[in-house]
Amino acid sequence: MAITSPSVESILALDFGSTQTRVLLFDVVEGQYYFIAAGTAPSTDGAPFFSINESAHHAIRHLEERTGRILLDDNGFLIIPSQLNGSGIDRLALTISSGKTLSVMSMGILTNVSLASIQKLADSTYCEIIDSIDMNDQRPLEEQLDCILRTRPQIILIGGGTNGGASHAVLKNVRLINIACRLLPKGNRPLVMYVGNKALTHKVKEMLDKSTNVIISSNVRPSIEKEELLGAQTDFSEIVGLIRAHQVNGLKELIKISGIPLLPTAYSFGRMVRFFGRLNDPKKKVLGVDIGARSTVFTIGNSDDLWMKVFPYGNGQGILRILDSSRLSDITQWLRMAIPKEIVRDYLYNKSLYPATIPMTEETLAIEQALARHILRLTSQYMADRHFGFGSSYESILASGGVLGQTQNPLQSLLMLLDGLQPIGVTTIVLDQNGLIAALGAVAKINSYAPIQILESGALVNLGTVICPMIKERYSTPVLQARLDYEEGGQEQIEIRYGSISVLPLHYKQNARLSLEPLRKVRINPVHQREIRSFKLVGGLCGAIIDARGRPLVIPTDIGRRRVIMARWAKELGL
Amino acid sequence: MVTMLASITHILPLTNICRTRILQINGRILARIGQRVKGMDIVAEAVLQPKHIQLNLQTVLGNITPGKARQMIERHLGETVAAGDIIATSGGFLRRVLRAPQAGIIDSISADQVMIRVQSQPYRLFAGIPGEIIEIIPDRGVVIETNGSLVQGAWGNDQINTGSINMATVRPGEEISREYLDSVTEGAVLVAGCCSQIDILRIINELPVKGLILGSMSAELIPIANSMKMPVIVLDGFGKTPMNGDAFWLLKSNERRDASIMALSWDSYTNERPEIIIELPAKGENQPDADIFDLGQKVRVLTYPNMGQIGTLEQIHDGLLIMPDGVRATAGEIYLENGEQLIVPLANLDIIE
Repeated sequence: MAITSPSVESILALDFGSTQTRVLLFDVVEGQYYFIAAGTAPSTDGAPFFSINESAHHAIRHLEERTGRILLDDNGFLIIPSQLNGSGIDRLALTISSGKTLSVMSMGILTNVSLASIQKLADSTYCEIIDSIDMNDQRPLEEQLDCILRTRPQIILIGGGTNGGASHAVLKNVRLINIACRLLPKGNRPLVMYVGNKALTHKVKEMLDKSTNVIISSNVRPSIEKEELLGAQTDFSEIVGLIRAHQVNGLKELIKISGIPLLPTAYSFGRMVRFFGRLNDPKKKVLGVDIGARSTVFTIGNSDDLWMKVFPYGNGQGILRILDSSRLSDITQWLRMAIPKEIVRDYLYNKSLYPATIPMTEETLAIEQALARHILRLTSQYMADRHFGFGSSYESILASGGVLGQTQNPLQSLLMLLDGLQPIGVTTIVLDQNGLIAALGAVAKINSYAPIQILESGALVNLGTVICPMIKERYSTPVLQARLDYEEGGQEQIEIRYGSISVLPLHYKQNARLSLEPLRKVRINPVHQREIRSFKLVGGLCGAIIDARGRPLVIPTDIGRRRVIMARWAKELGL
Repeated sequence: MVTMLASITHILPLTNICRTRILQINGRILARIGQRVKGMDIVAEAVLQPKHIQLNLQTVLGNITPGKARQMIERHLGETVAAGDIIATSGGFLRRVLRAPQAGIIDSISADQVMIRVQSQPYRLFAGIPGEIIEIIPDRGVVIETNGSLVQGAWGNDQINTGSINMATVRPGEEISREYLDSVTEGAVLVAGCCSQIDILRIINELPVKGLILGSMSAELIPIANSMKMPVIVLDGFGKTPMNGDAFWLLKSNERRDASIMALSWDSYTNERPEIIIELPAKGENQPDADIFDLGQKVRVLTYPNMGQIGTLEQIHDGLLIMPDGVRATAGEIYLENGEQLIVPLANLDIIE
């Protein structure tokens, strides 16, 4: 598709993570946008620099070394716009996930209505609800006041009341916020975002404007049955961006250069997942997961909706929250080698101290990949419990994050995702090795064609289609007969046994039709009413996979049996 | 030539040290510029856990309109009241009175409610290190300057104290023993290579010691270390590895000297990390906190399999090297003090200076 926008522009996307700062270069080649290259550097928003300038500078220099393209002038400033000699760039897009988790207090009317929606709003970015107040709160008013003064939330999300509905309870909360803000020093007053009854917006602003900053957004519950989060999510993400710009030195100047708001990486990632969801059948969902050092973003989108949660679990600083809420055995069950649990525990706690470190041995790599599996399990189970029920099926799964993207062999990434997410039905797994998805969410604000073209150019890695039928049989029982009819001619037949994970003989980008004949009671596409047993396939980097291990995966607790079975799965995949 | 930012861990026999001690919220500064402070002196305080009492006029004065209730209030905002002081009076023949149940300050007056802030225990901010107050940050804290030895750590249990350095082990790789604990002196800060036994920590917690410094500690001991009544600092990380030689021998050279043990959690956003500061009667120079990796630097390995070992960075490889586990990384060659040569990703090193 040729570019139809009026000007051809190179775009630099900067993402400030909690351990790594990444810079991505996108440019036009023969009329189409491509992802050119990436550069990285350790993040410097914290000590000792307390500024993103150093990390941005080093990441861009790294990119210069890789591409041979000059992006910084002799004084170290970005060259904008791009020059005739090929140096410089035209536009800048910024995303951020670093920074301390924001403390949020939620106030609403009913726990299961307004507060539940506010919780979902808070879930969409890097914050934590430290306390909630609803109309049934048993604490006397002075205790609620003391709670706000003691916890000193950075943001108060206040909602409640359908449009034209309840007002008394909402205004009672507003009065409480007003008292609290007047008692707090100016520098400690929370920013207030109002997402409730539209009829009260003027009154809310009037009551709070003199004591703190108030942002009025759309009602997350315009009616009892209807929940509308999108407008509030967009506003909330901009607020988070503003707070970060205020907290982190160097960001304001970059935002000025960029000309578009700084976006939280999670929100930007969610935007793209929702975009992918719109490309598909409205009934089908797309899952996006991004494992970072401090947090994991889990998002499910289709054409109508986006469900999103930022979990405080990661493979760096986020390890501590995992260890607080999980047993060590939940992680060690994914190890296929015998590693004493003391070593695993010590390694994980060390990784939380030094999150930027890289595993150097097979054992430490195995620990980190076991952790990644557990993070995927934790997050997918949470979402399944609350939103989708067990055994969710996805049109495609988009996976991002260093531990998933930077493996020795893409089959390692694939196996981590299958073990952790345990999808069912037919799904395509796509790997984002460079953190492109979130960056493209921000790039879209500059040029809406660019992300489409970049995705079409194959910037993401298609690992392949995975078929995960629902079966329950004795181990090693033949359950499916798979036949591949290649487009260029020829055929292959493979017998699939229960408990196996099989790589179908399909090369990268090779076309074929897969026909599946059940030999036992099998649901190939459990979420669809009509069972589809024959479909076209295009080979991914890992070909195509049939995961007949059953759901949920049963991992033997006996270390000996576990090692045998995991070694078998690895061998079946060619690892 | 690869350039990569490197963090620095200071293990310095003599340096100039400036530390900012800051309250989480506005409070009262109790020190002045030029004042000499010791580690356990209180330099500021603030009420972090405020307590209010709400007085509802209607409950005492009867069913009255908010407008009328407001007229009955005899106090104003910010006024200090004693227990029993009249807050509001109904007036009329059958006069009813609302009194303050406790002493406090009138924090809020609305139509028919009065909020009184009562006394609550303030949070006290210790100096943490001995030195001179060189700057006051209005309502928030102070900056303290000193000169002396500085040893930075990796983990702390968020406590502060001072005591005299006592080497509990002879070598960096030794674990603190039960036998040693039988002869511990009061006020000591124990220094040992490592600890992996819960019982040892339990015993130490009962002794009249002021702190514990370890090179490494089993992560299993974290909950008990967090509950101990003294500061605990782990210098290198979790496990059972020797303390890095630079720190061990520096602390040994300062045996019997008073040390400030600031076992703060490592927080890169506030620049706080666990530190041991030993004030000395000499002037040191300021040292930078970050650098670029370069040849000849003294570096420390941060993770397995050589955690805590110190060596010299002799070569930085261009491009990405493949590690034994197949992971690609920018790496350097380091020569350890024991003569061993390692290839380590630069991300797994920090600079020791």
